[in-house]
Amino acid sequence: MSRGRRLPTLGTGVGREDVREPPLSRRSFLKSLGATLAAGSLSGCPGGEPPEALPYVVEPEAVTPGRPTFYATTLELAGWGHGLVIETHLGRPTKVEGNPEHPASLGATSSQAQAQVEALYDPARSHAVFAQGARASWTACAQALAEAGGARPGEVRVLSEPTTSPSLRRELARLGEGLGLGWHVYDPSGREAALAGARLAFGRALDPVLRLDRARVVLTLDADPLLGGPGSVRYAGDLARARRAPFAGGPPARLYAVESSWTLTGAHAEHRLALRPSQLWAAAWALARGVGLPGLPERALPLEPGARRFLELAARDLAAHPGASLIVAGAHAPPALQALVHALNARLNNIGHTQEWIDPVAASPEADAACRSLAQLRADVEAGRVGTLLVLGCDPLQALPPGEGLAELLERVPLTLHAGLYRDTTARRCDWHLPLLHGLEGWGDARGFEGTAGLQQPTLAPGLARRSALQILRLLDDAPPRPDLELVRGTWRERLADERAWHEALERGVVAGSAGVHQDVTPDLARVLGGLPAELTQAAGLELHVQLDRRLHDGRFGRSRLLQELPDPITKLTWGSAALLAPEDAADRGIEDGRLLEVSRGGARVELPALIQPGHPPGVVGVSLAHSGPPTLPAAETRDVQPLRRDSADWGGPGLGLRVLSDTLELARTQRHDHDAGRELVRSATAAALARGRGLPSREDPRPAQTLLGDGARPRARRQWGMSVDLTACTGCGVCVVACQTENSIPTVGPAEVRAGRELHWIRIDRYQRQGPDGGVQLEHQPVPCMHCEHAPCELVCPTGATQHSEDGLNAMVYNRCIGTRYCSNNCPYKVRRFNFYYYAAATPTLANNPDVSVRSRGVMEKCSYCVQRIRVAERAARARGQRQVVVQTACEQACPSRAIVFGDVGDPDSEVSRRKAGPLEYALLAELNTRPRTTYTARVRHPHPELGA
Amino acid sequence: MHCHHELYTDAAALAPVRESWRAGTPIAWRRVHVLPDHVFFDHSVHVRAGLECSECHGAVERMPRITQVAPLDMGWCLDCHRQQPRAARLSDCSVCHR
Repeated sequence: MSRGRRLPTLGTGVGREDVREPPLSRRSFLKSLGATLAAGSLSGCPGGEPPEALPYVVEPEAVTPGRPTFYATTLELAGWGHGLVIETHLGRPTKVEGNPEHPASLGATSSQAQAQVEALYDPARSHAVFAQGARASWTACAQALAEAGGARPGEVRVLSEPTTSPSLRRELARLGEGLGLGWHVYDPSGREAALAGARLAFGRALDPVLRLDRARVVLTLDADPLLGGPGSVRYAGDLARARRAPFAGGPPARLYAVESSWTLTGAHAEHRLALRPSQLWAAAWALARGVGLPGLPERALPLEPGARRFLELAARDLAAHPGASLIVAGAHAPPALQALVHALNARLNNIGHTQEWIDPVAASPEADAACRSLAQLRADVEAGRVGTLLVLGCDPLQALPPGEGLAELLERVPLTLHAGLYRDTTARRCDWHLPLLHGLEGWGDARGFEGTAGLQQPTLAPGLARRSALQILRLLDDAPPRPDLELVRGTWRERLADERAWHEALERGVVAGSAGVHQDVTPDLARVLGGLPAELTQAAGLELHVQLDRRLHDGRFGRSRLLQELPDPITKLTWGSAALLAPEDAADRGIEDGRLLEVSRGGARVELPALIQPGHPPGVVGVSLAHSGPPTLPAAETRDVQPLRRDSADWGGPGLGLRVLSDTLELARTQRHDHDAGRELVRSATAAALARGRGLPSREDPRPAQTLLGDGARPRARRQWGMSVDLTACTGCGVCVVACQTENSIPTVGPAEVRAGRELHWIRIDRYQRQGPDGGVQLEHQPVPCMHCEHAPCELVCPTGATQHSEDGLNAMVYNRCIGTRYCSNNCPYKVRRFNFYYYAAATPTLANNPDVSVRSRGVMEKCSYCVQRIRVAERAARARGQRQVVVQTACEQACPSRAIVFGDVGDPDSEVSRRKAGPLEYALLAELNTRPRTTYTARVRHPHPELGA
Repeated sequence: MHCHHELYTDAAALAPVRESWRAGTPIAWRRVHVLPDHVFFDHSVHVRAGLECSECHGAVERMPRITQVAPLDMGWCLDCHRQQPRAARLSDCSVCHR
């Protein structure tokens, strides 16, 4: 059997959380050295007894040991279908890729999808049935249900999050008919407000589908379409296409962001306006006035003159592009505000062009007669109408603020069951806990943000006593057992009638023609105007702003070490959460980064470390729902901000108290500097300058290029690998970082090691601040993998020849030669080399490792290899087929939603990477050092409004 | 079982194979050729390049008990690779080590 590859190691492994071992004394060091040498001479090769070879008795078809098999599947993440392709080795999933056939993916993924293999093998996952905290069995659970089942119809309830799975809905509908089952749905991500806003505007609940590829001017109102939403992967790709050079259809799309904390969209925007949450209404009003919404009442707008001018110019710009502009409001903004925005989009003729409306995809009480709300459940429990409650696949005690009263509610139900991946907070408050299958282990289905359905097929034989949600639902009415496959096929009996259609849908991962259809709707202006607030006031004092976390969503992905260690694109904070403050507010109160603050609201107090973020609006404390961590994480590293919210519809507002405490907590950030010290690392140009034929100003060094390496002495292979990163397309989302980690088995190191600057990411995303033309703070993102310099400074200084240049232009690491001097890292001007100070790999489940990559030991340098394992496999495959051209996608390139990264043969003038590199915007990082990097950048092109301070 | 469904179906030497098939438990073969985990070797390219199995594994058909005939160390690999024409030489570290 294949297993993760390991190098011989010196000494022992490490614990899961604290990778630091107690300091070795000289005596114990010599002892462990002796033991290692002895073990080495016993198990070293040759001479020792190698492990036995266990072949298949019956070899499965289509499985060749050493060759991966790929399966298309659809995973439901936070309720929405993500089209994926799973790489498996001998029946073991190792890597997640996007499914190019799936419209929500187009081949790319989100960071959360990338972390699913890690989740599958998480040793902390629940593996057994528990009753009142003690191990129990499925039979005992069925018995307990049967005993409670004599109750009146309608007493059995299910509580879940919104789901897009047709099979799950069908099973719930069957139970609703047979058992009178009541199904209650709550949405922790605040989407209920979006449905309510649509209902207010159009008279019925609808889901928006943005067509950012058709937009020329986009304005977001406290919204982040590029990250975290169900359609974000697709949207990031669409927007990149509308913004990147060459600009076939006129100038690139212009992006405005109006927001109360940083969003990724705001960081990517040409112009950004930071406002207090209580000013958002005024901003929407100013836009409505600028667009000329008929019947809009006159109000005094609490906005500064600068903000007023910003909104006036933006509104004029939007109005100048009817049918090609778009205003996007945050999904959890007040419904009346969202309805106003819909009316504005209708006024701008955008509906049907840049914005489509489809029937709601996910089940929700706002949209669906089949489900009821949490409030109804609460009322029914009060009235004693609930006998049995199954909490299905979610953790409402964590996902909802304590004000929702979930804990009290669970206590009042006679029989409570929880089905989930983990024995989480809710599981511990329920009578029964049932272990749930991961989506990679069972059959199912899910719809994407635009309605396209996809089938979920198992990529791993389910182990242990876990069951799928479908099976657990069938426990409720003691239905005859049916395999999941049969249940899912039953759902699709009509649509995928014959065997061929079913197999085609399985193979492609999508059910053809199942996308939602645009509904031609017009907003009812009178109703929209009727919902507007009577007056617009700006709150006094501090205000709270709550965001879904950019990595951990509503905290549900907090157990993922990969996502915890992925730096936030804005703050570069890993592991845990902080309170974001404007520099002005921090200076007034004498707060520095990391100082603990007591944030209080409505009687609740939460301690959070301060993080001073330029560009954050003054008077606002920004928090995100990053409140959970892996069980081994020290409690001091996690901060629950939920108590600050009144209820699940509360995403901030006035009434915030702030007390500065005396303690500090060092923030685990991966980048602590904000400026590039005038080195012009991120270069940019305006579209207007490009149109006048002016590209990037030359930065050529007049001195002759110098190098310690002789020129041209190296043998060159036919193919020469290189990479180009388009900084206009890159949003800095960080998917590439996680994709690289899972492809190359890069371990996480934990918060203490991140504080010591020892994170191992092979590709990092640098983030710099600059002053925008409109006076606001702009952020610039730059992914930095190894540059694979042709004149690589690292190669010169390695005393053991552990880093070598290959004939095809790779700067390769030979781990077994590395003795850990770290000279190479010292001599690398890009600081992309990473050192294993400890045996970090011991903390990664071995099963999740890529069998095509060596696992690095302690004391070894590692870095981006341009996914050399993929290159070699592709070369061999091309040779076997007799093809000259070798097509390779690196992991970062494949996962990138905006297609910012292109990799290929720079020796082939027709390759995409060569074409990009020949463009006028291409530049090399620190080119003046004459390192001749193979990784180059396409300068960022902005298209600022000429009157906004350009 | 593979071929032994049809060939030598009652040979005494193949009794463990039949037993494994019947019981559904794999035979625990003792490895003779072992490469360290940090070496990535691909049989298919070598077979496709026209190399005979015996060039690395020896005359297996004349071995009563399989033994390793080549050292299978890096120097031995490179001795052969360096004799190849330039295009097929493939002596970069990253060809086998990743």
